[in-house]
Amino acid sequence: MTDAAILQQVRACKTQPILAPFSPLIIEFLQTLSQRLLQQRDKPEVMSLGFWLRRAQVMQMAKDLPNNAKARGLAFHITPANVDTQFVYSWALSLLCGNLNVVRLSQRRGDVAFLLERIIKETLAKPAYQAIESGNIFVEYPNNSPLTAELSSFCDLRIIWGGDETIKRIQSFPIPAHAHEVSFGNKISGALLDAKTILELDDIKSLVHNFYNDVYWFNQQGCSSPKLIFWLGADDNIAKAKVKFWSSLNALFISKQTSFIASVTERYALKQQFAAAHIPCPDNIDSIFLRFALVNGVQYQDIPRHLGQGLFYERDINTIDELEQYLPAYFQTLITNVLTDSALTCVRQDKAILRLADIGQALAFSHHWDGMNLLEEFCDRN
Amino acid sequence: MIEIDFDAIYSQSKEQKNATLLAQFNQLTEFHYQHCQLYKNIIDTLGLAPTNGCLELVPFLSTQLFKELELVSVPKSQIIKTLTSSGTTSAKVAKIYLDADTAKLQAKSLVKIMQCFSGKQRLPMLFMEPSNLIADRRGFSARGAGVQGFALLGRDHHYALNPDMSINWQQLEQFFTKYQGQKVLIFGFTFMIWQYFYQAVSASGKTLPPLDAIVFHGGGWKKLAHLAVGKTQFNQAMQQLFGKAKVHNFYGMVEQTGSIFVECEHGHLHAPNCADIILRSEQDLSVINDFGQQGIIQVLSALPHSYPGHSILTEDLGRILGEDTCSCGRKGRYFEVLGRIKKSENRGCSDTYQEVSHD
Repeated sequence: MTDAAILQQVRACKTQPILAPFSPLIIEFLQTLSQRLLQQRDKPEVMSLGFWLRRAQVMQMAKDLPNNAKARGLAFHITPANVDTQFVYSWALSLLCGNLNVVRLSQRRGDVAFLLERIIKETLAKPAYQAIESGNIFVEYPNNSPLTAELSSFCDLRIIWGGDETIKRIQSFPIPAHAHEVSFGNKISGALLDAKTILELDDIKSLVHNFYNDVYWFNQQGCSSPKLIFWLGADDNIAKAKVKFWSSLNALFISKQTSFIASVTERYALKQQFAAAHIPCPDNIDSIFLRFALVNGVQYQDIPRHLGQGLFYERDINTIDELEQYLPAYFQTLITNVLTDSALTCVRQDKAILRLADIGQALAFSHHWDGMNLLEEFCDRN
Repeated sequence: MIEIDFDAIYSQSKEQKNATLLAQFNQLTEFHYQHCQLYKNIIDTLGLAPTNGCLELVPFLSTQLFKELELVSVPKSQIIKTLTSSGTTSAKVAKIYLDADTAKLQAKSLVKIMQCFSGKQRLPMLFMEPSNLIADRRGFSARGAGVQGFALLGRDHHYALNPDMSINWQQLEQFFTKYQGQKVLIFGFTFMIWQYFYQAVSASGKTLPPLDAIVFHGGGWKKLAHLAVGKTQFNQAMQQLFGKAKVHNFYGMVEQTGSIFVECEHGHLHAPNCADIILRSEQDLSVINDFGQQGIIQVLSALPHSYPGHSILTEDLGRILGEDTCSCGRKGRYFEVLGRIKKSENRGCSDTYQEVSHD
């Protein structure tokens, strides 16, 4: 489609009637979509999305809708390339708020994103949902197109997913004075593993299986994919727990016959970059994952950019109090097997950790994201 | 400083070459180990040794490191020139630090290698570049350095392009008319020759007087592969353009300027005495000994003294075709380059807006 055609389509979209937040028609539409998605049994990330869109889950979410909420108008979503399902979460939440939506899809999105786009369009095309279809469009255009500036100039809500650089660049295009913006900058996530608990586990399988689900999907490239691993405990326990944990994870990958999508030359470069900073790597270049021990005074900002692809940056701590000093400024999700530790809550109150989750739930999306209630952000008030 | 015999470029057969190179590489590795702290850290941390029993064991750095780290083995005060890679797709550029000795060695090596193909006589020379490329001194890009190095081979330099990459007809017609039917040198990057010269001249409908040209071109096929232009088609186009053309592709990189690999009359890239190539497995980087098998290209060059770039793992795929046995008579390994290694998609959350690239 040409820029002019897209622009014309979006302008027409803006004139469509606006629905009230959580209108029955919207909920029914999402329920229908959910049923379609739940047929994709071989794609766990699509299944998760399907569950999230079910009527029961949506009604649960409705409880967090602020009083007197109303739609903002036209929402312009700029969605990321790294997590194929993300554009649907962003769009569906905004749709639930009653907004009209134009969703810019990344040109580097993966196969699953194309599949989702197709299913959504087919569902929208059903006669029953005509009122929704004309107010929701999905577009694709090159990064350097003037469309980003054009669409920004008349939207009522702009949602920018991913990357400080992206946000900075898009923010150079003004939005109307009344419009609201929500942006999601660079984030890193990790795991806090208690060594003693792991050593005491009779069966480590379920823990490792959950951890596998957190790291394997999206090639470990999501903002909430665990990348930094904190080991808590006495040094000798940590050493033993590491052996138990990593060998089990390795075995799980082998039994599932899966591996990360990795480049041998990039891994080699990374190994050498770390070596230049005296950080060794115990793993061979063709191992399923590579681990780097962050020792001494090495801080996260001093080490190479994490590429996903099965890289773990490990840090040992003896007490929970040591955790905070090692958390990068833009830390998002911490998954942990430390069950009820008040110390963790303290850390969280300082906003050093935006989200705590159980192991296995790192990638589970929620309308509480990056410290915000997105229903509040995507809605206006009467 | 290592002594390099530039009088015989392709003279050494396997045993002799291996012995000479191994001594040179142990000496070089030891030198960089002593004088470049980051290089020493890498060797020590990875448990490698600066002195080794065979060429395959000589440590090799990832090309990426020259973009990430400042790798230099002489005091900064001795650096006279810093080469940078063109960096079309990546935001980071490689930085190569040259002192006077290394720069001199590289220039000398380049001329001596090229003379094996163009003869000792300095021929009139046409660059497929805009004339302001060298005048623009903001930095020494790989392209600028290439042109400067090759310029020493010829005389009466002409530049075929204007600064906006359009054809400079006045320069071009002058060169073709002046040297009609005579031996001349043509130098350019493969993609530039095709895109800005061949296609533009064809489209103009003009015919130029025939020359007797020796064409040197390099810089990779990846952009042409995208246009589905192969070697045969390229060479035919050169005949068409120049009347008579001997076409030599070359393979080289900014990290190892000077010790380039040039294609012989039989279409094979040859390693000169001062350089070599090793192929490594795409799975685990182990050495591939069987000729004819595809692997990642590691390049060795005895020239880099001011920076630890004597042994590098590239991101190119290639295939060794033989050693000492090419029918052109040149000794040493000969090979072909098969393209770029497939990079993984790095789709971090910061990449929403990254440029879509066809490379």
